[in-house]
Amino acid sequence: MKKENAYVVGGSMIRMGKHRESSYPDLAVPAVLGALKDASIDKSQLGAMYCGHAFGGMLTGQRISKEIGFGGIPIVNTDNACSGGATAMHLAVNAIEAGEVDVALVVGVERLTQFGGGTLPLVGEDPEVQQGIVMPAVYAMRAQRFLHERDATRTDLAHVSVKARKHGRLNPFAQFQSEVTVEEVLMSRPIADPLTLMQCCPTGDGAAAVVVMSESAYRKHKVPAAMRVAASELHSGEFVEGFRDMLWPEISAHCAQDAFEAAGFGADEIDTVELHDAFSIAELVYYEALGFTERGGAVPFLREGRSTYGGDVVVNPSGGLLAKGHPVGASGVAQIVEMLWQLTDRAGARQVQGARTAMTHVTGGGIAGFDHGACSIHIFESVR
Amino acid sequence: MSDDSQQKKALAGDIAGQVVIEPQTRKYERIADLFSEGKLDCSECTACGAGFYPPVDVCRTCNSSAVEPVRVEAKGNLYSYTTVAVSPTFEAPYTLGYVDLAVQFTGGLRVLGIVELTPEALACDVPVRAAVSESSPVGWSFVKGTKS
Repeated sequence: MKKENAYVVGGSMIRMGKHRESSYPDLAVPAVLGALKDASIDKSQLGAMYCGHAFGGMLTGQRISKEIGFGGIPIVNTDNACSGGATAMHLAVNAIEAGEVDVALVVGVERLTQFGGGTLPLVGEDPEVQQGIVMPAVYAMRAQRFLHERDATRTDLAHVSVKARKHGRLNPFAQFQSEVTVEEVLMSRPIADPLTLMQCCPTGDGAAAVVVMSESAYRKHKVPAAMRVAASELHSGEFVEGFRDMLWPEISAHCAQDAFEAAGFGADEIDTVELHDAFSIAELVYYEALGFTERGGAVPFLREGRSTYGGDVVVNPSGGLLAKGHPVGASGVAQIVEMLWQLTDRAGARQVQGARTAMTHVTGGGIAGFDHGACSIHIFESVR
Repeated sequence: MSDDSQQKKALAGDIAGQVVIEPQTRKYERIADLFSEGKLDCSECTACGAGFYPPVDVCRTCNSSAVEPVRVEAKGNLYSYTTVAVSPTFEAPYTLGYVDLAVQFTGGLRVLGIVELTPEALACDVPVRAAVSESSPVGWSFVKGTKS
C-alpha cells in the first residue's frame, strides 16, 4: 500500500555523443545541475541519490556528488546493464512511495567511448561469449527469425532506422541529427547479418538526471510538479535452457502488463513512448510485446505510420537509441527526461501535441539462456 | 592436543558442528574442450530430467545436486543464425546459430554454436549436426544434417 505518490519535478540531460575528453563526473555534473535548477531546488534538499551506470567503476555516484558538493545522504549505484538508469529511477520511486525519502536525485551516466569502438563488452565467464556471441548477434538472430516467420523484408527493418533518424533530426541532444534513406541504411557496414551499422545504436556517451519528489515534498518546497509516476516496474529475466520464441520478448511483455495494471490504463491510452530500439528489429518486436499492436502486427504498424506523429502513438520522439546513441546507464533516465519535456510542452519541434501520458522502456543485457537480464518500464501522467 | 592438530581440527570444520562449504569450480578450461567425437559434454538432472550445456553442479530447475555428466549427440534444428562481421572474440566473419537439439531432456536444450553451411543451405529450421572443423575458431561447427 503506497503512502505517497511520486512526481518528477525537474530534469536535464547533456547532448549525447562521443565525449572522449569527459570523465563520468564531467558527463553527469551539467545534467545534475540542470535538473536541480529545473526543479527549483537546492542540493541541500536532496534526501537520496540513485546513480545508474554499467562501466563507471566503484562509487560513480559519489564521484559525481563530490563535484556537486553534497554527501551524507544515501547514495546507491545501480547496474542492470541497459536498464541501469531506469533501475535507479525505480529505486527512487519505491523509496518515495514508501514514505522513506522525500526528494531523490536520479542520475544515469555512461562513457562508452572508453572502450574505443566496436561491440559492448560482455562478461567473459559467459559460455556464449566464449563461443563468439556479441550483442548485435543476439538481435540479428532475432531479426533473421523475424524475416523467416513473418511477411517482412530487410527494407522493413531499415524503415525503423529511417523513422528514428527522422525524429532525431529535430533533437539537439541526439548524437545523430540527420535523416537517412532506406538505401543508406541497407548499404551501411554489415555488423551481424541482417543488421547493418545504421540499424545498431551508435557508440556514444551521455548523462541525464531527474529530481523526483513525494507530493507532500513538492507542496512543502513550493515547486511545481510536472508529471506523476503512474507505474514503475522492474523485472528480471528467467533462464530457459531449451526452446525460446525469440520474437516474443517475454520479460518486456510481463513488465508492461504489470505497468499497465499499476497505472490503471493500457497501451491504447499512451500518447508517446520511448522504447528500447537498440537495434532496428528491437522496435518491431517491442511494438507487439508492449501491447501497441497485436502479435504479428509490427510491420504494418510501422509502415502505416501508426508509430510516428499523427499515428496511434509517437514512438521514440527523441530519435530513440538509434539516433541518440545508447550510453548504457544513461539511456533509461534520458528517456524519462524526454517524456518530461513532452508532458510539459517543452519538446520544441519534437513536441507530441497535447501529450498527457507517456511510457519509457529499457531492457538490458545479454546472458546465455535469457531473453534479457532486466527490463524496467515507467508510465507517467502529466500534471497540468 | 598440540597446536597443530587443534588447528587442523578447526580447519576441518569441527567447531560447533559447522560444515565448511567450498565454492563450485570451473567445469572446463576452454569451451572447445566440451566437444569431441560428434558429442557435447552436458549434464542431466536425475531428479527432474532437465539437461544443461555447459555442464553444471546444481540443477537450475530443481536445485538438486543429483546431476550426472552425459554426452549428447549434437544434432537438431537451426532455429536462427547470423553472420557476425564485428567481434572482439574471434576473427570475423563467422556465422553463429542457435540449435534446438534432438534430446530427451525435460524442456529441451538449445545451444549456440559456430555454423558452417553454404549460403544456399543456410536458412532457419534446417537440420544440422555437429562435426569437427579446422576452420571453426572452436574446433567444431554445425554442418548440414539430415532430417530425422
